[in-house]
Amino acid sequence: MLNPESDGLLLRGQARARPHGRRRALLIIALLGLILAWLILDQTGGPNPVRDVFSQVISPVQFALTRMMRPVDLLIERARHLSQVQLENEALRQENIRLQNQIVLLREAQIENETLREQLRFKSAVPHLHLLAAEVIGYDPSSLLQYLIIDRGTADGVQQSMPVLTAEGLVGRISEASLTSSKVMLITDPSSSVSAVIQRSRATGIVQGYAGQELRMRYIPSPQRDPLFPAQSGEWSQEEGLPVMPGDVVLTSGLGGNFPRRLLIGQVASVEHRAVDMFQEARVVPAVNLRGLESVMVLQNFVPEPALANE
Amino acid sequence: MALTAVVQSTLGSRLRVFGVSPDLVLLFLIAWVLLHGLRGSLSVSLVGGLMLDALSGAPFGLMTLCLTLASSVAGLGQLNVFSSAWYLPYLTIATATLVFQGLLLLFLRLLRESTTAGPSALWGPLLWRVVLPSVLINTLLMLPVHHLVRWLAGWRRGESAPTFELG
Repeated sequence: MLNPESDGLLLRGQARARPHGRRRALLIIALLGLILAWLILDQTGGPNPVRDVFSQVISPVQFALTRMMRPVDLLIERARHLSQVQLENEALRQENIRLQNQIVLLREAQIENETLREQLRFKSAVPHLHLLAAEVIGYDPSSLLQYLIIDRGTADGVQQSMPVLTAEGLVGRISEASLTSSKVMLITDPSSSVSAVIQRSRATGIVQGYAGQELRMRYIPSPQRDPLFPAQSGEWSQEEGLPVMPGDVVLTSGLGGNFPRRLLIGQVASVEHRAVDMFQEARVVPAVNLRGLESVMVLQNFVPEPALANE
Repeated sequence: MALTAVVQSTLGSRLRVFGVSPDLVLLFLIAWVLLHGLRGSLSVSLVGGLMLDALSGAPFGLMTLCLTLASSVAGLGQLNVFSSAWYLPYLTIATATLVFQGLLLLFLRLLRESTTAGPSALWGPLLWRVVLPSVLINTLLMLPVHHLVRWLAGWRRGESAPTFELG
Protein backbone atom coordinates (compact mmCIF):
# COMPACT_ATOMS: atom_id res chain seq x y z
CA MET A 1 0.00 0.00 0.00
CA LEU A 2 1.09 3.39 -0.86
CA ASN A 3 1.14 6.08 1.64
CA PRO A 4 -0.06 9.04 -0.28
CA GLU A 5 1.41 11.52 2.10
CA SER A 6 4.79 10.11 2.20
CA ASP A 7 4.77 9.23 -1.49
CA GLY A 8 3.74 12.73 -2.31
CA LEU A 9 6.64 14.11 -0.37
CA LEU A 10 9.05 11.80 -2.11
CA LEU A 11 7.81 12.72 -5.55
CA ARG A 12 8.08 16.36 -4.74
CA GLY A 13 11.62 15.88 -3.45
CA GLN A 14 12.55 13.92 -6.56
CA ALA A 15 11.04 16.60 -8.73
CA ARG A 16 13.19 19.16 -6.92
CA ALA A 17 16.35 17.05 -7.04
CA ARG A 18 16.09 16.24 -10.74
CA PRO A 19 16.95 19.72 -12.12
CA HIS A 20 19.80 19.82 -9.62
CA GLY A 21 21.28 16.52 -10.84
CA ARG A 22 20.74 17.49 -14.42
CA ARG A 23 22.54 20.73 -13.87
CA ARG A 24 25.41 18.94 -12.22
CA ALA A 25 25.61 16.45 -15.05
CA LEU A 26 25.59 19.28 -17.54
CA LEU A 27 28.35 20.98 -15.61
CA ILE A 28 30.46 17.84 -15.60
CA ILE A 29 29.88 17.32 -19.30
CA ALA A 30 30.82 20.97 -19.94
CA LEU A 31 33.92 20.60 -17.92
CA LEU A 32 34.88 17.41 -19.67
CA GLY A 33 34.22 19.12 -22.96
CA LEU A 34 36.34 22.01 -21.92
CA ILE A 35 39.18 19.70 -20.89
CA LEU A 36 38.80 17.83 -24.15
CA ALA A 37 38.92 21.05 -26.07
CA TRP A 38 41.91 22.14 -24.02
CA LEU A 39 43.58 18.83 -24.77
CA ILE A 40 42.88 19.13 -28.49
CA LEU A 41 44.03 22.73 -28.43
CA ASP A 42 47.19 21.74 -26.65
CA GLN A 43 47.80 18.88 -29.09
CA THR A 44 47.40 21.09 -32.11
CA GLY A 45 50.29 23.20 -30.83
CA GLY A 46 48.39 26.43 -31.11
CA PRO A 47 48.24 29.11 -28.46
CA ASN A 48 46.69 28.06 -25.20
CA PRO A 49 45.39 31.20 -23.54
CA VAL A 50 44.16 29.42 -20.45
CA ARG A 51 47.53 27.96 -19.73
CA ASP A 52 49.17 31.26 -20.42
CA VAL A 53 46.94 33.08 -17.99
CA PHE A 54 47.37 30.33 -15.48
CA SER A 55 51.10 30.27 -15.70
CA GLN A 56 51.30 34.06 -15.54
CA VAL A 57 49.44 34.04 -12.27
CA ILE A 58 51.15 31.01 -10.77
CA SER A 59 54.75 31.60 -11.81
CA PRO A 60 55.51 34.54 -9.48
CA VAL A 61 53.92 32.73 -6.62
CA GLN A 62 55.94 29.64 -7.40
CA PHE A 63 59.08 31.71 -7.71
CA ALA A 64 58.50 33.47 -4.39
CA LEU A 65 57.67 30.23 -2.67
CA THR A 66 60.72 28.52 -4.09
CA ARG A 67 62.96 31.38 -2.98
CA MET A 68 61.42 31.34 0.45
CA MET A 69 61.80 27.62 0.81
CA ARG A 70 65.36 27.43 -0.41
CA PRO A 71 67.00 28.29 2.98
CA VAL A 72 64.56 26.03 4.70
CA ASP A 73 65.46 23.26 2.27
CA LEU A 74 69.08 23.92 2.90
CA LEU A 75 68.60 23.77 6.65
CA ILE A 76 66.68 20.56 6.38
CA GLU A 77 69.32 19.15 4.08
CA ARG A 78 72.06 20.19 6.44
CA ALA A 79 70.33 18.78 9.44
CA ARG A 80 69.80 15.56 7.56
CA HIS A 81 73.47 15.32 6.60
CA LEU A 82 75.00 16.78 9.75
CA SER A 83 76.28 13.55 11.15
CA GLN A 84 77.46 12.50 7.72
CA VAL A 85 79.25 15.84 7.30
CA GLN A 86 80.92 15.47 10.67
CA LEU A 87 82.19 12.05 9.69
CA GLU A 88 83.35 13.37 6.34
CA ASN A 89 85.03 16.31 8.08
CA GLU A 90 86.93 14.03 10.39
CA ALA A 91 87.95 11.82 7.47
CA LEU A 92 89.12 14.88 5.52
CA ARG A 93 91.07 16.16 8.51
CA GLN A 94 92.84 12.84 8.81
CA GLU A 95 93.49 12.87 5.08
CA ASN A 96 94.85 16.41 5.36
CA ILE A 97 97.27 15.38 8.13
CA ARG A 98 98.35 12.38 6.10
CA LEU A 99 98.91 14.51 3.00
CA GLN A 100 100.81 17.15 4.97
CA ASN A 101 103.12 14.45 6.30
CA GLN A 102 103.50 13.10 2.80
CA ILE A 103 104.40 16.57 1.51
CA VAL A 104 107.07 16.93 4.20
CA LEU A 105 108.49 13.51 3.34
CA LEU A 106 108.40 14.28 -0.37
CA ARG A 107 110.18 17.59 0.18
CA GLU A 108 112.84 15.81 2.20
CA ALA A 109 113.16 13.19 -0.53
CA GLN A 110 113.40 15.95 -3.14
CA ILE A 111 116.17 17.72 -1.22
CA GLU A 112 117.99 14.43 -0.72
CA ASN A 113 117.51 13.61 -4.39
CA GLU A 114 118.91 16.98 -5.46
CA THR A 115 121.91 16.58 -3.14
CA LEU A 116 122.60 13.08 -4.44
CA ARG A 117 122.20 14.23 -8.04
CA GLU A 118 124.65 17.03 -7.39
CA GLN A 119 127.10 14.58 -5.85
CA LEU A 120 126.64 12.22 -8.76
CA ARG A 121 127.23 15.03 -11.26
CA PHE A 122 130.34 16.00 -9.34
CA LYS A 123 131.53 12.39 -9.27
CA SER A 124 130.99 12.09 -13.03
CA ALA A 125 132.84 15.35 -13.61
CA VAL A 126 135.87 14.15 -11.67
CA PRO A 127 136.11 10.41 -12.38
CA HIS A 128 139.70 10.29 -11.15
CA LEU A 129 138.54 11.10 -7.61
CA HIS A 130 137.30 8.14 -5.59
CA LEU A 131 134.57 9.66 -3.44
CA LEU A 132 132.63 8.06 -0.62
CA ALA A 133 129.31 9.66 0.31
CA ALA A 134 128.67 10.17 4.04
CA GLU A 135 125.89 11.60 6.17
CA VAL A 136 126.59 14.23 8.81
CA ILE A 137 125.32 12.84 12.12
CA GLY A 138 126.61 15.43 14.57
CA TYR A 139 128.59 18.56 15.25
CA ASP A 140 131.18 19.33 17.88
CA PRO A 141 129.38 20.17 21.13
CA SER A 142 131.80 23.04 21.81
CA SER A 143 131.45 26.34 19.96
CA LEU A 144 135.23 26.76 20.16
CA LEU A 145 135.88 23.77 17.94
CA GLN A 146 134.66 23.21 14.39
CA TYR A 147 134.22 19.49 13.85
CA LEU A 148 131.67 17.23 12.20
CA ILE A 149 130.82 13.63 12.88
CA ILE A 150 130.02 11.50 9.82
CA ASP A 151 128.52 8.02 9.58
CA ARG A 152 131.50 6.42 7.80
CA GLY A 153 134.50 4.90 9.49
CA THR A 154 137.42 2.57 8.96
CA ALA A 155 134.97 -0.20 8.03
CA ASP A 156 134.18 1.85 4.90
CA GLY A 157 137.82 2.56 4.15
CA VAL A 158 137.99 5.97 5.77
CA GLN A 159 141.42 6.91 7.10
CA GLN A 160 142.84 9.78 9.08
CA SER A 161 143.77 12.90 7.07
CA MET A 162 141.58 12.05 4.08
CA PRO A 163 140.10 15.22 2.56
CA VAL A 164 136.36 15.78 2.92
CA LEU A 165 134.43 17.82 0.38
CA THR A 166 131.08 18.52 -1.22
CA ALA A 167 130.24 19.45 -4.81
CA GLU A 168 130.58 23.11 -3.72
CA GLY A 169 134.11 22.78 -2.38
CA LEU A 170 136.43 21.74 0.43
CA VAL A 171 134.95 20.94 3.84
CA GLY A 172 137.92 19.70 5.87
CA ARG A 173 139.79 16.52 6.61
CA ILE A 174 139.31 13.39 8.70
CA SER A 175 140.86 13.99 12.10
CA GLU A 176 139.81 10.76 13.75
CA ALA A 177 138.35 7.58 12.29
CA SER A 178 136.64 4.88 14.31
CA LEU A 179 135.00 1.72 12.97
CA THR A 180 131.63 3.19 12.01
CA SER A 181 132.04 6.95 12.31
CA SER A 182 134.67 9.63 11.84
CA LYS A 183 135.35 13.15 13.01
CA VAL A 184 136.05 15.80 10.42
CA MET A 185 138.04 18.90 11.25
CA LEU A 186 136.41 21.70 9.27
CA ILE A 187 138.57 24.21 7.44
CA THR A 188 137.04 26.86 9.73
CA ASP A 189 138.50 25.28 12.88
CA PRO A 190 141.19 27.55 14.37
CA SER A 191 143.64 24.61 14.19
CA SER A 192 143.09 24.03 10.48
CA SER A 193 145.42 25.38 7.83
CA VAL A 194 145.36 24.69 4.11
CA SER A 195 147.89 25.73 1.46
CA ALA A 196 146.01 27.86 -1.02
CA VAL A 197 146.39 29.78 -4.24
CA ILE A 198 144.48 32.75 -5.67
CA GLN A 199 143.15 31.51 -9.00
CA ARG A 200 143.54 34.81 -10.86
CA SER A 201 146.99 35.93 -9.75
CA ARG A 202 148.46 32.55 -8.66
CA ALA A 203 149.54 34.20 -5.41
CA THR A 204 149.95 31.61 -2.69
CA GLY A 205 149.15 31.71 1.00
CA ILE A 206 147.72 29.68 3.85
CA VAL A 207 144.02 29.56 4.60
CA GLN A 208 143.36 29.23 8.32
CA GLY A 209 140.25 28.83 10.41
CA TYR A 210 139.15 31.91 12.27
CA ALA A 211 136.75 32.62 15.12
CA GLY A 212 133.10 32.69 14.14
CA GLN A 213 133.34 30.11 11.34
CA GLU A 214 135.36 32.36 9.08
CA LEU A 215 138.51 31.85 7.05
CA ARG A 216 141.60 34.00 6.75
CA MET A 217 144.16 33.65 4.00
CA ARG A 218 147.52 34.69 5.38
CA TYR A 219 151.06 35.06 4.12
CA ILE A 220 150.05 36.42 0.72
CA PRO A 221 153.07 38.28 -0.66
CA SER A 222 152.62 42.02 -0.48
CA PRO A 223 152.36 43.89 -3.82
CA GLN A 224 154.38 46.91 -2.74
CA ARG A 225 157.59 47.56 -4.62
CA ASP A 226 160.89 48.29 -3.02
CA PRO A 227 161.92 51.76 -4.30
CA LEU A 228 165.61 50.79 -4.13
CA PHE A 229 165.27 47.56 -6.08
CA PRO A 230 162.27 47.96 -8.32
CA ALA A 231 163.32 45.21 -10.69
CA GLN A 232 163.63 42.55 -8.01
CA SER A 233 160.73 43.43 -5.78
CA GLY A 234 157.09 42.69 -6.33
CA GLU A 235 155.91 40.00 -8.67
CA TRP A 236 152.87 41.87 -9.93
CA SER A 237 152.73 44.95 -12.12
CA GLN A 238 149.79 47.35 -12.03
CA GLU A 239 148.54 45.92 -15.32
CA GLU A 240 148.37 42.45 -13.92
CA GLY A 241 146.52 43.75 -10.92
CA LEU A 242 147.05 43.13 -7.23
CA PRO A 243 147.85 39.63 -5.93
CA VAL A 244 144.58 39.47 -4.07
CA MET A 245 141.36 41.39 -4.53
CA PRO A 246 137.81 41.01 -3.23
CA GLY A 247 135.95 38.46 -5.33
CA ASP A 248 139.03 36.35 -6.09
CA VAL A 249 138.53 32.60 -6.06
CA VAL A 250 140.70 30.67 -3.60
CA LEU A 251 141.75 27.10 -4.43
CA THR A 252 143.92 24.49 -2.74
CA SER A 253 147.48 24.73 -4.01
CA GLY A 254 148.49 21.17 -3.22
CA LEU A 255 151.63 22.40 -1.49
CA GLY A 256 152.47 20.41 1.61
CA GLY A 257 150.68 17.37 0.26
CA ASN A 258 147.70 17.52 2.63
CA PHE A 259 145.08 18.24 0.00
CA PRO A 260 144.88 17.64 -3.73
CA ARG A 261 145.26 20.64 -6.01
CA ARG A 262 142.46 22.83 -7.35
CA LEU A 263 139.75 22.15 -4.79
CA LEU A 264 137.58 25.19 -4.26
CA ILE A 265 137.98 26.74 -0.80
CA GLY A 266 136.06 29.98 -1.12
CA GLN A 267 136.04 33.56 -2.29
CA VAL A 268 137.91 36.60 -1.00
CA ALA A 269 135.54 38.99 0.78
CA SER A 270 137.98 41.68 1.85
CA VAL A 271 141.73 42.35 1.97
CA GLU A 272 143.70 43.73 4.88
CA HIS A 273 146.97 45.37 4.12
CA ARG A 274 149.17 47.84 5.91
CA ALA A 275 152.11 49.53 4.24
CA VAL A 276 154.55 48.08 6.77
CA ASP A 277 153.37 44.49 6.38
CA MET A 278 155.39 42.01 4.38
CA PHE A 279 152.33 39.92 3.74
CA GLN A 280 148.72 40.58 3.05
CA GLU A 281 145.77 38.98 4.76
CA ALA A 282 142.37 38.31 3.21
CA ARG A 283 139.03 37.38 4.70
CA VAL A 284 137.69 34.39 2.78
CA VAL A 285 134.08 33.23 2.70
CA PRO A 286 133.92 29.42 2.51
CA ALA A 287 132.36 28.04 -0.68
CA VAL A 288 130.47 25.48 1.38
CA ASN A 289 127.84 26.44 3.92
CA LEU A 290 129.48 24.55 6.76
CA ARG A 291 126.68 25.24 9.23
CA GLY A 292 123.97 23.46 7.31
CA LEU A 293 125.82 20.41 6.00
CA GLU A 294 123.81 17.22 5.77
CA SER A 295 126.02 15.07 3.58
CA VAL A 296 129.64 15.16 2.46
CA MET A 297 132.08 13.09 0.40
CA VAL A 298 135.33 11.58 1.59
CA LEU A 299 138.12 11.57 -0.98
CA GLN A 300 139.50 8.07 -0.61
CA ASN A 301 142.16 7.87 -3.30
CA PHE A 302 144.21 10.76 -2.05
CA VAL A 303 146.90 9.82 0.42
CA PRO A 304 148.36 12.80 2.28
CA GLU A 305 152.12 12.79 2.59
CA PRO A 306 152.75 11.30 6.05
CA ALA A 307 155.66 13.52 6.92
CA LEU A 308 153.63 16.62 6.22
CA ALA A 309 150.28 15.39 7.40
CA ASN A 310 150.11 18.14 9.97
CA GLU A 311 150.96 21.48 8.49
CA MET B 1 123.48 13.93 31.13
CA ALA B 2 124.51 11.55 28.36
CA LEU B 3 121.32 12.37 26.49
CA THR B 4 121.95 16.09 26.96
CA ALA B 5 125.40 15.69 25.41
CA VAL B 6 123.93 13.87 22.41
CA VAL B 7 121.25 16.56 22.01
CA GLN B 8 123.92 19.25 22.23
CA SER B 9 125.95 17.56 19.50
CA THR B 10 123.05 16.70 17.21
CA LEU B 11 120.78 19.71 17.59
CA GLY B 12 123.29 22.27 18.85
CA SER B 13 124.06 23.53 15.37
CA ARG B 14 120.36 24.23 14.83
CA LEU B 15 120.07 26.20 18.08
CA ARG B 16 122.73 28.76 17.24
CA VAL B 17 122.27 32.27 18.62
CA PHE B 18 124.90 34.97 17.93
CA GLY B 19 126.89 32.26 16.11
CA VAL B 20 127.20 30.00 19.14
CA SER B 21 125.15 27.12 20.46
CA PRO B 22 124.27 26.79 24.17
CA ASP B 23 126.42 24.54 26.38
CA LEU B 24 123.54 22.35 27.51
CA VAL B 25 125.73 19.89 29.43
CA LEU B 26 127.41 22.72 31.35
CA LEU B 27 124.03 24.32 32.08
CA PHE B 28 122.50 21.13 33.45
CA LEU B 29 125.64 20.33 35.42
CA ILE B 30 125.78 23.74 37.09
CA ALA B 31 122.08 23.60 37.94
CA TRP B 32 122.71 20.15 39.44
CA VAL B 33 125.69 21.40 41.46
CA LEU B 34 123.64 24.30 42.84
CA LEU B 35 121.01 21.83 43.97
CA HIS B 36 123.08 18.90 45.23
CA GLY B 37 126.47 20.40 45.97
CA LEU B 38 129.81 19.58 44.42
CA ARG B 39 130.20 16.17 46.03
CA GLY B 40 126.86 14.96 44.77
CA SER B 41 127.63 16.15 41.26
CA LEU B 42 131.02 14.63 40.56
CA SER B 43 129.60 11.52 38.90
CA VAL B 44 127.30 13.71 36.77
CA SER B 45 130.26 15.87 35.80
CA LEU B 46 132.27 12.81 34.86
CA VAL B 47 129.52 11.29 32.70
CA GLY B 48 128.81 14.61 30.97
CA GLY B 49 132.49 15.28 30.36
CA LEU B 50 133.19 11.84 28.94
CA MET B 51 130.21 12.11 26.62
CA LEU B 52 131.41 15.49 25.39
CA ASP B 53 134.88 14.07 24.89
CA ALA B 54 133.46 11.22 22.84
CA LEU B 55 131.58 13.63 20.60
CA SER B 56 134.18 16.38 20.35
CA GLY B 57 137.25 16.83 18.23
CA ALA B 58 139.22 18.06 21.26
CA PRO B 59 141.90 15.78 22.76
CA PHE B 60 140.19 13.07 24.81
CA GLY B 61 139.77 13.97 28.47
CA LEU B 62 140.01 17.72 27.95
CA MET B 63 136.27 18.32 28.14
CA THR B 64 135.98 16.23 31.33
CA LEU B 65 138.80 18.16 32.93
CA CYS B 66 137.40 21.58 32.01
CA LEU B 67 133.87 20.61 33.00
CA THR B 68 134.98 19.31 36.39
CA LEU B 69 136.99 22.45 37.09
CA ALA B 70 134.08 24.65 36.04
CA SER B 71 131.70 22.70 38.28
CA SER B 72 134.15 23.18 41.17
CA VAL B 73 133.79 26.93 40.73
CA ALA B 74 130.03 26.48 40.85
CA GLY B 75 130.44 24.40 44.00
CA LEU B 76 132.27 27.28 45.65
CA GLY B 77 129.41 29.56 44.74
CA GLN B 78 126.96 27.19 46.36
CA LEU B 79 128.90 27.11 49.61
CA ASN B 80 129.24 30.83 50.25
CA VAL B 81 126.99 33.17 52.18
CA PHE B 82 125.16 34.28 49.02
CA SER B 83 123.89 30.77 48.34
CA SER B 84 120.28 31.88 48.78
CA ALA B 85 120.57 34.94 46.55
CA TRP B 86 118.27 34.91 43.51
CA TYR B 87 121.09 35.88 41.16
CA LEU B 88 123.39 33.05 42.25
CA PRO B 89 122.46 30.65 39.39
CA TYR B 90 123.09 33.36 36.78
CA LEU B 91 126.33 34.54 38.33
CA THR B 92 127.51 30.97 38.70
CA ILE B 93 126.74 29.91 35.12
CA ALA B 94 128.38 33.08 33.76
CA THR B 95 131.53 32.39 35.78
CA ALA B 96 131.46 28.67 35.01
CA THR B 97 131.11 29.35 31.26
CA LEU B 98 134.05 31.75 31.38
CA VAL B 99 136.13 29.19 33.29
CA PHE B 100 135.08 26.29 31.03
CA GLN B 101 135.68 28.09 27.74
CA GLY B 102 138.81 29.85 29.02
CA LEU B 103 140.39 26.62 30.18
CA LEU B 104 139.41 24.90 26.95
CA LEU B 105 141.05 27.67 24.94
CA LEU B 106 144.15 27.60 27.10
CA PHE B 107 144.60 23.83 26.92
CA LEU B 108 143.87 23.76 23.20
CA ARG B 109 146.54 26.36 22.67
CA LEU B 110 149.04 24.44 24.79
CA LEU B 111 148.27 21.10 23.17
CA ARG B 112 147.97 22.26 19.58
CA GLU B 113 150.43 25.10 19.31
CA SER B 114 152.89 22.96 17.43
CA THR B 115 150.32 22.09 14.82
CA THR B 116 148.77 25.51 14.39
CA ALA B 117 150.19 28.41 12.51
CA GLY B 118 149.08 31.07 14.95
CA PRO B 119 146.52 30.24 17.61
CA SER B 120 147.63 33.06 19.90
CA ALA B 121 146.41 35.56 17.34
CA LEU B 122 142.90 34.13 17.74
CA TRP B 123 142.53 34.76 21.46
CA GLY B 124 140.87 38.12 20.97
CA PRO B 125 138.41 37.12 18.22
CA LEU B 126 137.56 33.85 19.97
CA LEU B 127 136.87 35.70 23.20
CA TRP B 128 134.61 38.25 21.51
CA ARG B 129 132.91 35.99 19.04
CA VAL B 130 132.59 32.73 20.97
CA VAL B 131 133.25 33.01 24.70
CA LEU B 132 131.26 36.15 25.51
CA PRO B 133 128.21 35.21 23.39
CA SER B 134 128.31 31.80 25.09
CA VAL B 135 128.31 33.47 28.51
CA LEU B 136 125.29 35.53 27.48
CA ILE B 137 123.33 32.62 25.99
CA ASN B 138 124.06 30.29 28.91
CA THR B 139 123.08 32.96 31.45
CA LEU B 140 119.79 33.56 29.66
CA LEU B 141 119.07 29.83 29.47
CA MET B 142 119.83 29.30 33.15
CA LEU B 143 116.33 30.34 34.19
CA PRO B 144 114.45 27.50 32.41
CA VAL B 145 117.22 24.95 32.99
CA HIS B 146 117.52 25.67 36.71
CA HIS B 147 113.76 25.46 37.05
CA LEU B 148 113.65 22.20 35.09
CA VAL B 149 116.42 20.59 37.15
CA ARG B 150 114.72 21.59 40.40
CA TRP B 151 111.47 20.16 39.15
CA LEU B 152 113.21 16.93 38.06
CA ALA B 153 114.90 16.62 41.45
CA GLY B 154 111.56 17.03 43.21
CA TRP B 155 109.88 14.56 40.88
CA ARG B 156 112.67 12.04 41.49
CA ARG B 157 112.13 12.30 45.22
CA GLY B 158 108.41 11.91 44.68
CA GLU B 159 107.65 15.41 45.90
CA SER B 160 105.76 18.15 44.20
CA ALA B 161 107.80 20.59 42.20
CA PRO B 162 109.49 23.15 44.42
CA THR B 163 108.58 26.76 43.84
CA PHE B 164 111.09 28.94 42.09
CA GLU B 165 111.85 32.06 44.03
CA LEU B 166 113.02 35.03 42.11
CA GLY B 167 113.59 37.30 45.05
